[in-house]
Amino acid sequence: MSQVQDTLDRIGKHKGVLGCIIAGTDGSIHKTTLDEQLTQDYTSMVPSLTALARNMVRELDPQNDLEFLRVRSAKHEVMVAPKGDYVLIVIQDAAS
Amino acid sequence: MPAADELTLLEDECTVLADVFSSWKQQKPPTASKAVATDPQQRSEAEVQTTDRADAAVQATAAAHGTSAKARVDGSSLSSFLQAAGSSMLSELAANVDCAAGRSQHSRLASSEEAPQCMFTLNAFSDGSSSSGNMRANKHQLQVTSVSWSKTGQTLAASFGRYDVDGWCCTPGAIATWNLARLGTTTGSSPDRLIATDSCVMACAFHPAEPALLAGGTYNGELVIWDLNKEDADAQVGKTDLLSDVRHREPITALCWQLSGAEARRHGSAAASYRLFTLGADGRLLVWLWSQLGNPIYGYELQWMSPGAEMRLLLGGSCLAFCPAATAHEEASLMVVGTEGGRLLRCQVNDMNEASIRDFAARLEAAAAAAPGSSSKVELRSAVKDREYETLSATVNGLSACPHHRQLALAAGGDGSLRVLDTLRASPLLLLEPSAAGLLAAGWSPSRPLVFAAGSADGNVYLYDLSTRQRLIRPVAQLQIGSSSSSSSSSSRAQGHQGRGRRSEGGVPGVNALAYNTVVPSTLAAAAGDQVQVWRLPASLVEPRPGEAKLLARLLGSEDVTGLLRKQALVV
Repeated sequence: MSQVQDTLDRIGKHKGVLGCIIAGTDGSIHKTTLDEQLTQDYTSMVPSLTALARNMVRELDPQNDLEFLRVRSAKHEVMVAPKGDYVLIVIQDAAS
Repeated sequence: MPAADELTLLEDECTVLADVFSSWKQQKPPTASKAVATDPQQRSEAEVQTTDRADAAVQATAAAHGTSAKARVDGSSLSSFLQAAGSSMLSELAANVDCAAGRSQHSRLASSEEAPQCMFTLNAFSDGSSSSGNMRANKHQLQVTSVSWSKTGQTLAASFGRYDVDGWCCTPGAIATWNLARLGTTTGSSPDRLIATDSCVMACAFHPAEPALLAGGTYNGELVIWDLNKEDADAQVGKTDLLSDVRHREPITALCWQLSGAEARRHGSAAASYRLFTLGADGRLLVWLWSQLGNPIYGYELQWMSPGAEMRLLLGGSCLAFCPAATAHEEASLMVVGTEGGRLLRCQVNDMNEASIRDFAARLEAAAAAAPGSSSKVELRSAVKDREYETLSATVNGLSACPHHRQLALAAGGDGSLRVLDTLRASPLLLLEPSAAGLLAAGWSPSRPLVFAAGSADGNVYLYDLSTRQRLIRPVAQLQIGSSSSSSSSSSRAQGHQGRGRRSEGGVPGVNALAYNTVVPSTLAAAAGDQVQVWRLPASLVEPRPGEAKLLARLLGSEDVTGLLRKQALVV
């Protein structure tokens, strides 16, 4: 558990990182550093987007798989690392 | 018994008792005493304490989403997932940091782009055609020679003079101040204060800590201090002596206030802890305390030894810029001085300590006390250091030190060249030519390390932004300051090199002075002819971008600056 916390701390300490969420692909929340509402919002939408992206990658090449997904908007950058049953979502400030 | 009988016969007493009641005494009412007692009170004590507490908070929330309760954390699988995902996430974050500078172009919201716009056009003198209020006409064809913002950023002062004076200057000059906070509401653009002086004022500078103190240097080499808090008539609080031995004999071309640690310690007030440096066209750099203008406290000369020659030449200075000190407590002692001949000199003024100042004062007194006609002149030391920068082919008209990095400075010359200098290198980092006309003023943006502006003789101010991607470094914005329809129709014709005060071929006055407002960095004041215009710059030129300072530092270290900028431009 401390290892998990350690890694989350390291990610959280990066410059500009606003928050970090570990969620399951079914929408369950395991760990989060953001407040409840925001976490709910992200976990209700990000895993489905990740699934769509993974589908796209595998359709183009069945041997391929989705490794990392980044969505950059005017204000934030959302970085998603899906692996197995879990999804790691990190939200960073776009300016840094 | 006769005795007993006799006794009864001898007795004549009555044994009848009679009570006689008093007529004035009252009878005491009959009293009876009784005693009453209450029953004793019943008392009992009991103690109460809460053992159970409950806190409750109430808040309205939006309608609950579909339930996604927190799943029970499965330690081992979570940690293995996190190891894999975490490492890739960290590497992505690191990659973000590296290419942040080039990429930040995209993160600007497109809707906030706007062009620079002119907020105010300030006239100190009325046009010939319209007679507005109490503004006088510009009888002597004065032009703006310099502009300065006050410490609060609200007041703008402009000094008026002429550049084409021969010999002694008899044309009266003027100082005009405008308070921008009041300009939006009141009528017109007439100045709040218009102070006339005996001769043309060639340079002016506000005190960095006292918003009402203004220093001005005139064509005759005099230094005048005004206190704008006082009424119009006696706003002048000090003036240098025209007859003292050590003074400027040529026009004062540049003024600079610098913080002095010794004065700060001695006086304690912010107003008194600044020394005033004046640079004259006679090559003298004098140091003054504004409260005692009788004599300078120290002086230097720009004596330059050309390599291979025996003699030292005295060069006339045209502008100066102090390199900011390394720490906040150090005094700034290094500066770059531009001369009329186009030389850029590096000067140092760090030998002003108590002993040398006293020695200087003693020498001044000795020279003053000496009989006239004797040849005891006060010798001034040379401030020039050995290092010299590449010469320009015309007068250095504008110098500005970079407020973000000590080593950088900007030099604008009358030959049209705008140089970004590294003060530790002889050749310039960047050589830019915004226009065919000569450049008359330069300024570095106080908020963005990669943005600077140059005013040219064709009436435009060119703004450069080194962080934009271009194959060829071109100005990103051009502000038209002078227009051929502006008031005074001077008859001076343009000549070969674009000197100051002359109009270019189209009759447009050149931008003689420009100054960024350090308090509100989006405001830029530029003056052409006898008008001052205040422009607001768009956010893209004002808000600092991340990675700019780093890029600036990299530019300094690199050998090929244009190549680096171009490569920077191509990085996505």
